[in-house]
Amino acid sequence: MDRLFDWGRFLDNIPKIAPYLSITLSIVVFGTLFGVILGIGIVLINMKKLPVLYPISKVYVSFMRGTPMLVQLMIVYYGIPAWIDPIFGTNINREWSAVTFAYITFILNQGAFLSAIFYGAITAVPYGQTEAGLSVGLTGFQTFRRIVVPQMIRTALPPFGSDLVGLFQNSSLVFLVGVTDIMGRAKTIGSATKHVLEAYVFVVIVYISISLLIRLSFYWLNKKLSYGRGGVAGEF
Amino acid sequence: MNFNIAHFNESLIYGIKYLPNTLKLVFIPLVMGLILGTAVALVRAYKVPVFAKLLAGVVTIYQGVPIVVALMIYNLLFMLKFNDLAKLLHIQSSVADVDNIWVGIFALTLMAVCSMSEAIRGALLSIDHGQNEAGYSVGLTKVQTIRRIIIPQMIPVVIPTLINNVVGLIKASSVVMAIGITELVAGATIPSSRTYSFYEGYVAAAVLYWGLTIIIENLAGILRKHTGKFRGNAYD
Amino acid sequence: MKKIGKQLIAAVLITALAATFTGCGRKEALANADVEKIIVGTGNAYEPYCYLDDSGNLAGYEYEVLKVVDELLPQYEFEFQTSDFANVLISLDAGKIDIAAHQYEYNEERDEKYLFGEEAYTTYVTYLVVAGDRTDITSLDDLQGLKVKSSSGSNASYILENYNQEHADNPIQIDYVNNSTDEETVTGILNGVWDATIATKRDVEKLNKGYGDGADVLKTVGEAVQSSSTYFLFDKENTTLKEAVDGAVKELRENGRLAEISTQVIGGDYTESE
Repeated sequence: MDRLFDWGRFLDNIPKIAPYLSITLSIVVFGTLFGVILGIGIVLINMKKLPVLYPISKVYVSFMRGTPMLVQLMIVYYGIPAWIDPIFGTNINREWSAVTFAYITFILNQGAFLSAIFYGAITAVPYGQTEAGLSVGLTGFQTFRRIVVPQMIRTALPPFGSDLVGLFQNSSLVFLVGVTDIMGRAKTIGSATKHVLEAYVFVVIVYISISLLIRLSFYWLNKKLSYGRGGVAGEF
Repeated sequence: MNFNIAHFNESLIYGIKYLPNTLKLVFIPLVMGLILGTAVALVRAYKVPVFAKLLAGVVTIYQGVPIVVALMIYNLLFMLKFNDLAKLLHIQSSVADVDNIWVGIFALTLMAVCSMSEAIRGALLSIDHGQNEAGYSVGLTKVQTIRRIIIPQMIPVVIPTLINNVVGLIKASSVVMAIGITELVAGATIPSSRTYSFYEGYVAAAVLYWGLTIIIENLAGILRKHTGKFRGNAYD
Repeated sequence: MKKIGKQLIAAVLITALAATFTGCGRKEALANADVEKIIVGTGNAYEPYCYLDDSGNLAGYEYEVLKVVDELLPQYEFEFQTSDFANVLISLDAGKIDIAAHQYEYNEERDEKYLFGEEAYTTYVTYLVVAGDRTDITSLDDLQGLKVKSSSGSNASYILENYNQEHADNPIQIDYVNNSTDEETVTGILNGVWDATIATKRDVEKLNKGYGDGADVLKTVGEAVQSSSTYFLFDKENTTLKEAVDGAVKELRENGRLAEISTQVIGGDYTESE
């Protein structure tokens, strides 16, 4: 067998893999953007305990949190068209590309996860804070927006950052339904050139760099939002 | 697409048969993650010289690596280098004797240590710095303050995030099928290899995972009520 | 700070919109009223049959053959869709694709569920494959209690699963390793992670050429596990398409094009016999 790791092959792989970063990023952008909207919607449903929607959202969040991404991807890709097409007379099964189903899966998944993060952060704000707000004459909504939300954001930021990094990594599963992202491209290079380690290493470097970038942004955001308040260890 | 109930049931039975493997892949990393993760979090939160910075770097970088890629690389190295290592250590065993589930456990343990240390650290940071000072002012030592004041307050805050992590671990355990370990998803799709009912296999896997996480979340709910008794929370 | 935030949101939205539009554009360009669009599902990691080339485009024997088939059938226009091996047949089930092409050998269970083309386009004779220095394995019976590498949905798995049903007392341990690379296969067999796998002679030659440094690190042993050919698979209902494709494949075999493509892409004529 040849050398396990070869720098020449490593460098050759870079231009082959790099363009596929756009696919990975588009999944992250869609997943986060619409996931946040969906997540906020679910939190509101939870807090207002809206009839019908509340139990549905409970089941939905529980399913999304309780099953592996891989399985969700399969169920959305094959299952959703099988329900929707006969009802609405559409043909999304054929007309929507695999990447569209990948976006949907990630949005649905992120919505559920982010709602749990947001909701957890809200409940971490002691109720005394709400009472304090109400006692000085703020309305319920004002108290929520001016007192609870700013504190909640601080608690929610670190898990939100980790979640984003996780989303970025999970996006590597879309290869299975035929969407070629950076991980998928690395694998196909492995099967076409017979050497996969260099491609994996490059992909690892890309993943690490982007996750560092995400973390750095969250660190910066966190600092901006800390309002001069320190935790046990001050700022991190 | 027809959903074949008989094949679904067969997949369900196969999935249950391989459930112990999934549990092994979750509980060993979970226990290791809790122990090492708490240690890492404390070292970082209390800024132990050198180690805090070192661990911060390692955790941040390692969290950027998708578990799938890490797993592939460990597996490749394990297959290539384990025999040499065993010879070096004069161990009478070879790759053929070692179940590769340990490669999966190894990869998942590293992941768990990183994610749990972050969860615990986040909770530590959410506790007001005044609590430390209060502890010292009544004459408690640093260790006593951590043990009696910080950790009890941290637990209710950390449990939701930690449960997220455990659930994440359960689901991440499904990626080990990529290196040929038969866990729940791989088990549920074994009959599919003969009957070509993969969709039924995936749905069966989803049902089993869902059940598993619902059990865990309920246990966590009980735990949370128990540990958070002293803390009023109007949103629960 | 606020300004930066707004700009960021705008940037993200534009990216999202751009991505959506490029997606739509691609689809509309393919819509054509006169010819029927046929989606061909194939794999993305089985070189030289279906894999992605240097620039990330689908390449390989399946693709080359079907491209020529498409030329012979003016009433159809083929569009290719790649996915993981195990997912090609699920996609056929789900109606996402019309033709499945991934070196499919005949077996009863497949025949029950899908429609087999009648014209074979490659022969496919599989053997047990072991490390070059092993002499203890010559048949499936020798593998009882040993580990064999396979993948979900493959005919090899089908054979092994059937064998195990008959020998439930001492079954072969089947390791399902999906979308593994050739490198992993070779390394695993050489180091004893797996005792054997099932493959064709030409696949073994390919692996030896790629990873053997000139030596035959792997070898086929014993009698053929199964002698079959490969066929395209269709949906049970889709007999018109099946007949059209069969006709085209027949024509290609008779005029020598099929053998030509096989020699060019696989490196030998595997269309008649081995």
